[in-house]
Amino acid sequence: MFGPAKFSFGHVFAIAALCLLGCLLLPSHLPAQETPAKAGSNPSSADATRDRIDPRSWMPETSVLYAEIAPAGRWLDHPLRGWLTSTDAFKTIWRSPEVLKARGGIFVAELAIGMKLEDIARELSDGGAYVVIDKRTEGIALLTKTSSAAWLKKYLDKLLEVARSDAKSKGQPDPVKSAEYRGVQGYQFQDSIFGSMDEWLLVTNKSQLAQAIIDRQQDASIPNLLNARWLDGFQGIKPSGESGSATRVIAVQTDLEQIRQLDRGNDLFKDQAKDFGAELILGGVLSVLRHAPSASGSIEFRENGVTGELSAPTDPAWFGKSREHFVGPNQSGRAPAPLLVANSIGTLSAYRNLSEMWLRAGDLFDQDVNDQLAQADNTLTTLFSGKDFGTDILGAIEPEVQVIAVPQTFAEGALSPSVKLPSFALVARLKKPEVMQKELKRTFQSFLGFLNVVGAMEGQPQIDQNMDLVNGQPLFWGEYVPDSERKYENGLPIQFNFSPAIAFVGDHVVLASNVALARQLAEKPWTSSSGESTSSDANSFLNIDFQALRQVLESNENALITQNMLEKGHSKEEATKEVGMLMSILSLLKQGSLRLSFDDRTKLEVRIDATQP
Amino acid sequence: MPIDAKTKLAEIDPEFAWQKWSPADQEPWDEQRVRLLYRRGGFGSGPKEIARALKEGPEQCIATLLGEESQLTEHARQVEVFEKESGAIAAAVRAGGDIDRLAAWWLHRMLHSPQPALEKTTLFWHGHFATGADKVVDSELMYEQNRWLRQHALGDFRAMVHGISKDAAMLLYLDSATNRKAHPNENYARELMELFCLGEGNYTEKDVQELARCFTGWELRRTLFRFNEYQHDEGVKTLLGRSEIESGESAIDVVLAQEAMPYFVVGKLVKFFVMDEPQASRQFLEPLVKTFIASDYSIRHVVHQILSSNLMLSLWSVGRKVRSPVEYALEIVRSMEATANLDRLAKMLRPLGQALFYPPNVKGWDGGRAWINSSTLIGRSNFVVDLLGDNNTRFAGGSLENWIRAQGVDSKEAWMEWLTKSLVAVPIPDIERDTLQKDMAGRTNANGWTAPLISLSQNPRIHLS
Repeated sequence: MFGPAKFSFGHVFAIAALCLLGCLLLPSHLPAQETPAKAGSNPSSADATRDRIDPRSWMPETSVLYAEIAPAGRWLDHPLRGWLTSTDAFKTIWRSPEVLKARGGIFVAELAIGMKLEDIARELSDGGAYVVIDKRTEGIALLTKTSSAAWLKKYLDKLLEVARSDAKSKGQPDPVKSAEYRGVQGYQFQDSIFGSMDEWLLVTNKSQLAQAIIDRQQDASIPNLLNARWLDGFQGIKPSGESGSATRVIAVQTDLEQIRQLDRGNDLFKDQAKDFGAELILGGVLSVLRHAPSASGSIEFRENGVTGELSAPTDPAWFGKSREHFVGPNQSGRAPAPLLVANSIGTLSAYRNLSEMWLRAGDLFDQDVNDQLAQADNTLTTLFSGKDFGTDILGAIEPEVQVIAVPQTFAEGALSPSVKLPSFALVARLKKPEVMQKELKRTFQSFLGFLNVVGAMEGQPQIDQNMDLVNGQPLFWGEYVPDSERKYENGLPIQFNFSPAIAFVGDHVVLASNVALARQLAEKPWTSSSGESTSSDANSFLNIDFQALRQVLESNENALITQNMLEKGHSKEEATKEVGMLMSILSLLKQGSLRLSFDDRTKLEVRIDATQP
Repeated sequence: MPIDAKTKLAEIDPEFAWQKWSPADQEPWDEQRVRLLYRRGGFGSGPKEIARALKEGPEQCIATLLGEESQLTEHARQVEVFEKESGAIAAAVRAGGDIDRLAAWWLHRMLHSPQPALEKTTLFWHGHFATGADKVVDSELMYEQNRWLRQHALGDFRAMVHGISKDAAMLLYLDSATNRKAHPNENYARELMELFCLGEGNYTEKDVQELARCFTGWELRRTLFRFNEYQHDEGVKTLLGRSEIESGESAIDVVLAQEAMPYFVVGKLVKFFVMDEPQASRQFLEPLVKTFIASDYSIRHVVHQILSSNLMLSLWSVGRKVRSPVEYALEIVRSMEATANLDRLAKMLRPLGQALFYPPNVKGWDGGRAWINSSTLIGRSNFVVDLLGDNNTRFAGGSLENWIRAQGVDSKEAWMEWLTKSLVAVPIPDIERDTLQKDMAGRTNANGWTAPLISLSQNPRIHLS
């Protein structure tokens, strides 16, 4: 797309606007991208300038989102980038045809502008970048503080020259319109409006927003964002060296109240959810989004990974009784300490009063969902031998629940399923173990019997029921029996991934998709991960081991390739490459976690650790 | 002498019609004939296939379509590689048990098989021995039946009928999983004679009852066929004038030995490959019937003769069929060397009236004019919009614009010409061409290169094959 014959100013401008992000992935050690350090672009001089002008003073008071982005140098010089570009996985991706094509386009753009993309990014955002979304004009603006007014003028002139000569060579009229407003020369190309104010570059999609910013730049008495209440407590990008071991690269804050008014139809801001899964995962967060005056977010680079955080001020009254199933009485609901299971793909640990949520469905969901739930309730009640699903089954367990996933292993050479799924287990504490163990055992056995009856009607394999004692406690499970008259030339059907099991460990119940996992959990004393004790203030905690996840995907590589061929119409070679690229990306990631907590602020923290040693 | 396109069928000499066509000055081996062969014997052709076929000549082209190139090791290798790849996809699809995805797998075969006529004929038998997944439900059984149909698609018709009579999906579909002597099930007996082998008027109601008695004891144990000798009616049966019938198998042989059988089967093949209308007379089918019988009921021999005949390649057959939805969709894809989301493509065929593995009833798809109504016409146009609008759709691995330019086309008008030549079998009158150009120019919402195809998809002539 960046071939010389089709090169256009639009491409150059798009690259210039995106270079802050795009150049991050350009490995500085590769010869084509090697650049000497630029004099005058050191962070301290830029930060000193930043101290003099607060860009919020130029932003209209009707803005609903404000963000600060660290100078590109801080992204580019971070150790993570050096490590990332030195990995084999990155080099594989870097040499892939798709990336080579994009690099070719970038190279052409660099030639036209006469400067390397990385240098442009450094110069362009030497004093940081600032984004604002304005409600009144419905516009978005980007302000960047460049290294110098002289550099910016030269860069803009070159861009304009390229655009005009490109149009001229095609016999087209001048594609750039220009106008002056209060002494600032502005340009319009397609939908983009841009101009310079000394060393500041302004890019926006609405001329009214450009005028509003220029007005405030020249007249400090016009209302601006400096005193906006929704920006109280905003923690922007700090000067280099002040943020400890982590480097904050993006900070954003929004006026949620205004956004709610603008987007009243959005399901996120409604009382009732349209989706059972969304309520289960995010119910409490929805209450906060509906009431909080503002929300903030940030992304930080750490030595070995990336951390993201979204948060909003929180008032316990917002949850009321209707979301007590999510946050617990008086926000006291806490996730149990995550169990440590060898080679687990992930653990989800959460406080969720499932019974209460099921019984409150009438208040939580709209009519459609409630109709479906009523139908499901009938089916599940039948499935569980007439026991009321909401009260008797879900009501039997305490709200502190967790789900564990581990890869399944199959004996070498033995018949195994063609698609190999991981095993899952739900672990929860029983309210009345002495009563509920017997009840659940009977219900589980009835459930397997039901599966056998339905399976027999549909010609599906049958389940053989078994029982064992583990540490003196019962373990019940069912195993699918292969049909002796059927040849399984392509491996066993997908249901052979399952050997549903129920085990009891002390006052806990383990409900597993596979007996091996149930036995593993029942045999060994439980240990909690060091980082998350029972005193944790997290409401929900998800931990993912990317390497274990990769192991599962690798064991299903053929199925993934097939899926890619059918879903994208790719050839086998293309599909194999794409799946290989996914594996390469996963090989860069070590662990990830997601933590949700409610206090005076609701916080959603995401952490991804790289495999960097 | 070429057969004039306006000649009535009754006026054409059957012997000449089915004789092998040879290129001549008046009838050269040209692009139009290559396209016709690939359209009828496969699912359309891309530029590379056309170039190769033009170079190799008609005999080689037909041999390629039918996979009769055992002497050509390169083609045999291609077939082997493709079958391995398709087998791997099938294995993954079967593991998931999703019938919709099975349809995507079959579309992959139709688009990429080095033997397109094998897939085309398998599609014919899928409509002939119609079995619907809505009733069978089990994707494995549908896959097994499809595999059986493909295995015998160009083989011995009698072997195919014997096999399909014990096919689990078929027996489930026709409620024939049990057949007891106290209550003989007449469903399969009736369809075997009426729809599969003889056609209406070639059997009596008494024959249906007697044939049903012959099939007593044929049942399914879970998903496997078994003969329950205790439920077999051992009494004397008289079927189609024959009374010494020992088993269900021998009863099938009696049906297959009927004089009407080859005319019925060959007539349906002619309808499928050559013309929706008019129905060919017995006299007209005679040369093909002779081939069928002489080749011991080899379907391949008949299909080969049809594709290489004067009737086909004199271009008399052009425009005498309405494209089925599968033919319509896949020819658009194949002619532009496109690749697409096949799951989506399979779903997009439903509103057009031809969901694979879901024939409407035991009679299969009616075909012909029945493919077209106000709803399916709009659906066919929407199909083009959806296909071109899907980000997964690529053309020889790249963008539509790059592909078009690679064909040496540099304007929308030229692109419209290219499309017309490639996709429209019959000539478009000048007045309609003007309308198409105006419609294309008026489509300001569509991308410049997609507008011509969208406009063309609304011209009724594109639906003729």
